[in-house]
Order: sequence, then structure tokens, then C-alpha cells
Amino acid sequence: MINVSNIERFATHDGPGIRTTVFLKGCPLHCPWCANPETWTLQPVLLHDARKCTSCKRCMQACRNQAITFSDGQFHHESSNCQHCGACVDACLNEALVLNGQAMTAEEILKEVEKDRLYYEESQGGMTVSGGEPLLQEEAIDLLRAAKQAGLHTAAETTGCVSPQQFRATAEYLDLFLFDVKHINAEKLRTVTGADPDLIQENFAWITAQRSQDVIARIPVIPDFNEADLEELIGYAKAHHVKEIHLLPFHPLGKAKWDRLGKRYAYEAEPLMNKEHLQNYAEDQVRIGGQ
Amino acid sequence: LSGMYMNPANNPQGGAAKNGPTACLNSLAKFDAKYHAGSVQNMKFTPRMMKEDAAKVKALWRTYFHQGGPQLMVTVVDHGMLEDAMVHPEKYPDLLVRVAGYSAVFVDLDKEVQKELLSRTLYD
Repeated sequence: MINVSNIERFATHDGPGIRTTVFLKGCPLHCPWCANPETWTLQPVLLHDARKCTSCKRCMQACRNQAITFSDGQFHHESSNCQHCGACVDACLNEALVLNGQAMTAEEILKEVEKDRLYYEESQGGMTVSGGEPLLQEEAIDLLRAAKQAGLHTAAETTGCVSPQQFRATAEYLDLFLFDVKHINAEKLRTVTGADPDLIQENFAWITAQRSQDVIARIPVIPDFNEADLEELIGYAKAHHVKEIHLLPFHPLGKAKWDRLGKRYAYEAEPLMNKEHLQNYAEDQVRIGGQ
Repeated sequence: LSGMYMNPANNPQGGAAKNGPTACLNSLAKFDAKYHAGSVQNMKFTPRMMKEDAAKVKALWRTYFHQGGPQLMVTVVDHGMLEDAMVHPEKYPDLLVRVAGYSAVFVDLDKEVQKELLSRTLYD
């Protein structure tokens, strides 16, 4: 079984053409700017929308594991007690609770992806796996293999932070890599994101040495983390002869998800970065924004 | 469900389209036009989408028509623009929307019709 966070149809910024993006759960990184923090764990997670909650405590009464408490009318969820049974979600009358994450077979996922095959054919699109780190779950390879056998174009939005064995095994079934280049300063990468810089470096070097034209480097531009080092990061990607480089302007759109997970979003005061802000870097090979 | 707008023509009720425009168009293409006697299908997109993702929007519509879609009415409008036009109609004298087969000046429409237009899903 594959742990899936979400399947998004008509995705227009995750590779060429019209695509369906399958967000897989589990990530070895924990970037403080993350837009999908609900994907970090392999297990399902509970999201609580305080704006819809009336503190009626029906969820608390429905929970068999004492994972939900209220203090001063405030909802609190203890995830270590949670068995992900969904009883609280069913009990909520205001749709304030959502359990994100479900186990699906490769066939079940592919069935969903197949619904838009005609659109992929018309637009040279296909399926993108994202996350989380989409290559982390061993079973991800079953999905990619099945998609290739079905004749679909496949892409992965990857951090590259997986074992070289797993990375190389999945590469066989991937047509395109949207490879994250967050930083090349190993210490910074490790401390801020929790990544293993050596793994990332090894996988990036390997895939670009084999098939550099199947790699698009994606640089999420984060104020105070890498914005001052963009020249260096672009140079690094170019030295590996990648097909294109995409600069992704910072956006705080994930904030609501952090709130719903009961976590504080470190970039809440940071405004959305305009594309124009990065226009100086634009050239043939360097594009602003995901495409 | 009391007080909720009925679905406009062949289209999903506001908020019911949850799987994006491809899912919606796949369903609309399944109707046989000879039975629904010219009922319309409509969709709202943002100017951003029409500009930056023009090729993908074109492929979207082409696929719909290849599947047998008989007609599509497109409204291009930005986030918040219709909401703002309800509060400040004087700023939007030329804002056109498609309603039931004809173009209408949004600010001239009845409040309830305006609200129904707002409830439709906007694709960006």
C-alpha cells in the first residue's frame, strides 16, 4: 500500500502539459517554509480548523484514545495517542476536522490518474508524484512502473533525500525530475531543513551525469535562507547541465495548514514574493515560477 | 441545504465541483446535447490562468470538445473582483459575465443572481 496525502487533477505547475499530481506522504525534511506540512508523516494526520470549531466537544467524546482535550475552550490534539480511526471527524458537525492521508494501492491511484488521460495526450502532460518526498516510500516504485506501463509521462518533484538504491530504482520509471536545489551549503541545509546533504548531492550528481536533460532544477526562493545565494545556486545547477532552472518565489499559502496542525508557521509575517522581484535572474534557461 | 442556490443549467452547484475543471468537463461532455435542449455549461477562470497557462487552457477545452462537449461559456474574472463589484458597482461599469446564454453587465444584475455567480467555482 502507498500512503497518499492528496491527488490533484489539472495541475498546471508540476511539469509539462496538463497533469495529475499525486502527493505522497512522508518526508525526511522539515523545512520551516513548507507548504505541505501535512505530508511530513507517513501516518495520517488530523487537521483542525479553528474557524469552524464551536468547541462543542463532540470530537472529544467520540475519541476512544483520549487524544483530544479542551482547555479554556481550545482544542488540543495529542498525536501520540491518535490511532487515526476518524471517529472525531465523523462526530464533528461543522467539518472542522479532516484526517489527511490514506493507504491506496498503485492500481487505485492509477485509476484516478487515468481519468484525465485524454487531457494528457492533448497537452503532452502526464502524472507527477510530489509530496512529501515522493520517492521515499518503497512502494512508490510500483506506482511509477504501472504508470509507465500504461504509457503515461511521469515526473517527480523530489528533494533527492533518499537512498541512492531507491533513487536509482525509481529513476528507471521517471521521464522527468523536478529536483529541488534548496541550498549547497551542507551545514545550512542540514540545520535548517534536517536533510542529509550527502545523499542529495550524490543523487543529483548521478542523475545529471546520466540524463541531465531530464532534470529541471527547482529553487524555492526563501528570504533569509537562500535569497542572497541565488547566483551560486543557479551556477551549481548550470554546472550540472540541467535542462532548465525554475526559481519558485516564496509564498506563505501553507500557513493555514500549519495552523490546522497546531503548529506555528515561522514565515507568517513574510509576504508573498512577486515574480517581478526575481525578474533579474530570468534568462533562456532560468524561468521564474513553476511550469 | 435550505437556501442554497440550485445548480445553474448543466453545471454543478456552487461548491460541488471539487476535483477541478477536467473532472467537471468530463461529466459535462457525457450529456447528449439533443436531450438538454441547449442548456449551457459554464466555467470561471482567472486572468492569470488565461495569460500564463494559455496553452494548457486551450488543451483543456480542445479535449472537452473532442469528447463531444457541445458548448462552453467562459467567464474570466479575478479573485475578489465580483465581490468588490457588489460593494462598489461604480468601479465596474463594463464588467461582463455570462449568464444563461447571454452576456450581462454584472453590476446591473439582481443581487441574488450576483450571489449565485459568486458561488460558482473559480479556476486559477
